[in-house]
Amino acid sequence: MNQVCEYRRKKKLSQMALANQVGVARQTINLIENNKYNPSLDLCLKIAWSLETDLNTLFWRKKDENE
Amino acid sequence: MKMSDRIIKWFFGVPGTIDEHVKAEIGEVSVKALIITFIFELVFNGSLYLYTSLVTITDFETLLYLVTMIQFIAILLIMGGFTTIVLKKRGVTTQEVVADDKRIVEKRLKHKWLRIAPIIFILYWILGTLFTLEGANFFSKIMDLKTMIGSFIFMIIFCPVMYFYEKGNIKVVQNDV
Repeated sequence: MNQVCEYRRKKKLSQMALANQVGVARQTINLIENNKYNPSLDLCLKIAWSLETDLNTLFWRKKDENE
Repeated sequence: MKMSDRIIKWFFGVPGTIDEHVKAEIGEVSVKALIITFIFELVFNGSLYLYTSLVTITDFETLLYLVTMIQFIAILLIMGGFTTIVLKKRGVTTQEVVADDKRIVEKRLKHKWLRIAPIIFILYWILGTLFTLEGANFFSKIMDLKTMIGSFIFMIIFCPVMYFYEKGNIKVVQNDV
């Protein structure tokens, strides 16, 4: 599970607000948070910049960790 | 917005942002539709070839009309119907609004179809006249009251149906954190 939802809540942003910041639809943010869509590196970077964190913090998972 | 995105938005009826997820979904559905079309064309043309080589054809004109009509309807159903249903199922054509904006969006939708209604009327009027001309004078046919009433009835039915269809695609979401 990625940390997008957690960091978004920490920043007090709604899915809609984050989606508007990174230029995607709200559904896309929802799918990313629920691990139902693999975003491109470009979108991952935009989300990380928007949440003022880095890619590792948001998306890194250990090799044996369940998807 | 890029021109290609505008075309995608218009062609597939996507109300929201055209992002990479929407493009990926449309791409997947389009490839499936293309494969189905290819299989249909292969089977249909193969069967037609077999039929025409085994049976003696006397009326080529009727056969041509029949074949082109079947192909036209099938491609329309595969490309239009299939993609529309699948994209609707996947939520790509759903318009999301927050509860406060619902009324504004519905009002905008109503105004949009009120603006489109006269265009639909004129288009149906002209096309309807052209297709039912049968050697008659175009201007006398277009001024015929029957043609006008027919176009008007089509507009009266089509525009509200499309309005309610698009209204049904609106989904209210909560704007909380």
